[in-house]
Amino acid sequence: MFMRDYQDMVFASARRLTGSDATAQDITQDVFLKAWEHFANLRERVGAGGWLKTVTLRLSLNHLGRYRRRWRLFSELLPAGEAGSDPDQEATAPEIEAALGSLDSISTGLEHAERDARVRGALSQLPDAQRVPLVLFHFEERSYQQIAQDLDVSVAKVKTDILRGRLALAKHLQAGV
Amino acid sequence: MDDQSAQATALEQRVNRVLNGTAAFKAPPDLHLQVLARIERGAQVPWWRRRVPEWPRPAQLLFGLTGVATAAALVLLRPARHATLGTVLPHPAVLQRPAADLHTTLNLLAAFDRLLDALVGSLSNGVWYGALALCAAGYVGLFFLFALGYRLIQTPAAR
Repeated sequence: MFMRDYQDMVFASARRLTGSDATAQDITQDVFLKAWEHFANLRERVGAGGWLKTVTLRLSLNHLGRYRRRWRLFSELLPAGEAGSDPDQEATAPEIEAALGSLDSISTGLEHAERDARVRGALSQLPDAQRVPLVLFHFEERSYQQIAQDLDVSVAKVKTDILRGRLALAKHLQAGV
Repeated sequence: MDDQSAQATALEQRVNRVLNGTAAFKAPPDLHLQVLARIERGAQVPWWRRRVPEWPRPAQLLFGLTGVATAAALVLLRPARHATLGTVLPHPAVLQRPAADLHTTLNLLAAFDRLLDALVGSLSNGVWYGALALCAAGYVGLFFLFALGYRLIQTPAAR
């Protein structure tokens, strides 16, 4: 019963972060095995959902850990203009304008099921460097500072990757229309 | 707030609406069965094949004591340069053969230790610094080769 209440939430978080059904299933199983080990404490707690969510994020980020270490290491080798500049100034006004247009068309011009499939597909096509911070920001409601801590990168890098992710997402959605 | 920042904020809100307007992923219907199966498999694993923190308390204690005893024995029986086995271990007749083998091993280790000492003593500082510089240069070279490969292969896909 406990598991049925929470399995969709855990699976959805892991799936969005890792971008893979199989990996998300493995992570969901691991999360509930941990919950089983702590079940005596957990069933008494009001915040069991929060505990599960935290463990899911941690396991998903651990899974992506190898990639994250490379990302941090080599992002520091990028020229200063690429890694540390103001992200708002990086994207040009026409780029953002085009992204807004494609997001509007996807919001209004499609049936629910088709729109869901297209958004999921576009999200899955993003590279981890963009998808992970984007998901943490928009779905897990983490702040830029928290995401920077989670991923062990600078806040400027997080902002840049999220902005690039939004633009890339809009492009993928536009390409699919 | 300038126009571009206003646009970026609008983009954030629009993406938020699109993403959160999407139906959430559903877990596979048999996921709870898979978890229960894993719990059951885990329960059938004997204690000695589990992680040490999951062992019974007496077994953990014994494991810790054995570790400490082994460490102490290694320290006490370390290859002394001029010691013979007889000064370290009494050996009754049944232990003569293994004791002789151990004796040979200890002598070999002591000889290796002396050889290392002689080698270290005979090399000048210049050779050591040269070797260190060579290692550092090799390490830095590999690092940049890897970084270059990463930027060529991985980074373009991330943009």
